[in-house]
Amino acid sequence: MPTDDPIRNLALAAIDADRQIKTFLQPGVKRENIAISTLFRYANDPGYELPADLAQHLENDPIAQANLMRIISNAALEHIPMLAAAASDTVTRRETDKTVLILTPSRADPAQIYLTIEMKDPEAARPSQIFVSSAEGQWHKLQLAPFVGVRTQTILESEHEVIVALSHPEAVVYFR
Amino acid sequence: MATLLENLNLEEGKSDALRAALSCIAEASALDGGPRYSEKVTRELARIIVCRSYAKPLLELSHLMVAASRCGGSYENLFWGISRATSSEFRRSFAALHGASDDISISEHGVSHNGEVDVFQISFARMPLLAALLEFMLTTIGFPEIDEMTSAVRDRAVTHEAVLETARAMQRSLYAYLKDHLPPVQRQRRERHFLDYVDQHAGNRTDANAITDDVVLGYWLAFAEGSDIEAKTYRGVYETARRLIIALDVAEDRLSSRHARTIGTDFEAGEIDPANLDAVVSALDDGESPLQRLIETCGEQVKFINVSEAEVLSDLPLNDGTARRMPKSVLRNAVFGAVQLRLTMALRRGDALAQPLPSAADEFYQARLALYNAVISGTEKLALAAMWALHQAQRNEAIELALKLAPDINWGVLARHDNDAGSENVVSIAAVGALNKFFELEPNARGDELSALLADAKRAWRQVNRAGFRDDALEISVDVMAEAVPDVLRLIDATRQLLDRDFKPVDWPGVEIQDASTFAGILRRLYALNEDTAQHAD
Repeated sequence: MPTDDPIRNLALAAIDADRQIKTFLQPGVKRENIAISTLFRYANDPGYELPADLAQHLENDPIAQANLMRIISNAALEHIPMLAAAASDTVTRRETDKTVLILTPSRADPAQIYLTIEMKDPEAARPSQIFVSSAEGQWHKLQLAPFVGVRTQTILESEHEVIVALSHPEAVVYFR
Repeated sequence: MATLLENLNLEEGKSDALRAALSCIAEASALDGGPRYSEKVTRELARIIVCRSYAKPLLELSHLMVAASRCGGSYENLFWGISRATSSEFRRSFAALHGASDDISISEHGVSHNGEVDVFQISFARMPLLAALLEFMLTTIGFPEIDEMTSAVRDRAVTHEAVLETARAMQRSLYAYLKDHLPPVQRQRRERHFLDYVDQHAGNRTDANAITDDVVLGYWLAFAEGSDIEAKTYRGVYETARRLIIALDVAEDRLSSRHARTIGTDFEAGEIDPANLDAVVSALDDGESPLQRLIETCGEQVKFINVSEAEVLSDLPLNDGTARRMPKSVLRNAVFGAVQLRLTMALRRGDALAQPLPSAADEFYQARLALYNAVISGTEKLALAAMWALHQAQRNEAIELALKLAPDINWGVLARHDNDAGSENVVSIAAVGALNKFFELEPNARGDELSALLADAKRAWRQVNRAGFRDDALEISVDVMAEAVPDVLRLIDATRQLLDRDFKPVDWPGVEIQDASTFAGILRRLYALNEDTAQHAD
């Protein structure tokens, strides 16, 4: 077989490539991405929370954040953007053409907050989850109580991560 | 040297992101915690990335995204509405959407995107790979980018030309990504060194035929004790030879006139067509052997093959021309490759090497051949038992098994005399009627040949006690059993071909006498063993 034989060249190139594939698929690679399927599961499965290491990774990975935001926004029923920068105080009300979101302290126990969502259009589809993206890149989600008419109300501790995130004007909210 | 090391580190750094992206897909989990993509799919994905043979898969993916969006409203729902990316899951998902769009048709085998002039088809079997490719694209290029790149063809009925343009846009993105993240392959010295030796010793033979038993043994004897090249183990040399035979055979086939050449590839300048490279690398994938395919299809559910049997058959090159070119080397690897491995491991552990080296009186090759025969006979018996279960479940795969296990049987019992044919001598077999008659047959050892075969199958079923071969679990295992039939048949065919065609002409007793002496000599020198046993001389 002459060394410049095209059959030999192709065969050897394939052996080289095969070795590279095996190297690429060796286990033990440092995690640098969150699988898209994991992000989809997080967005669609109300009972699924990201494991702590992935949640932490998400906070520091702008690509994963952009991917998750696209996944959530693509199927979102409604979206409330961040509030104006001047709104520096604690936020208790967010409103769009379609929805109103209100945080109200409980009279019985001030350490508890009512999260109330109202749909302005009685015919509009009712969300079952809300996702809140904080200014720091953290994502929080909450499964909503069933709607009664146009309204759903959930009571949470004032320290609950969703309440804390919603209290800041930079938070972005998606209903799904 | 410093520069070399620096370059190596740079290359490794360059590929870290790509490795991480592939690893992310390999580790993606289904809802039950198992892998979302099979190992086969992950390997295929890595192959099309490394070989840069992604043009056709990206076109298929673009059409699939169109089909998913047109039928389901959102491609995300289809791709991630399923937990485990398998062809049957995709089949189920599309079946639920049947008739949802005018320009998309769904059949038993796949999905078609009907254009004005032609039809683009994507089989369900391709969809797991395309799903992994989509996940790879979203991970590396970004979800927003791919979402926008494909939005124009997803939102409305489009021409095939528009889908092709979208696929090209994705190709360009991936090309740019790989330019930054896929380092050039490293040339493997071992195979080139071996081929140089082949050139010097092959006489006037060329291509894979030049790699013979004598060449493999000669190479090992020449270099095992030296430090020029890593060739200490016979198994390593055998594997090098085997991989070269596979690669050279497929390369020759691909470069023959039977396969269309890609326009734009400059073969004179040594350029390699990605489709050809992909085909040869695919042939090197051991996961494609009938044994691995069967293990992957059945897993723990239907034990056509157990761990110890799989270990025995794993010696055999079932998917290529190795045994035809170098039958003795296959058994040398199975026997002496294993002996050498045991010696190496014992030395590493510091254990005593009490086991004597094989002698001709052990008839080691003949014993090994008898073992292969016993294992595959057992598999044939399990296939016969499976035929009974599949017959009871009225699955067509029962007929495939019957045709294979009893090829000379008289099937006339399934024929019906056609009164309209005009002649008493004309007998036609109407497929549906014959199928029904087959499933109506009762086992009868003294009946016609088919009934007697069924009686054998029923007896075999009762004698087997393995996972998947029990009456109480049959409802669960029958689907897996049916799916495994092609792989079982391939395994039986390939093993029988080796035993009956490739190994049969060899004078094994004569080879045993020669090899016992040759291998004992070199192994004693390599590991400083004394004359009588494998004990260290010191």
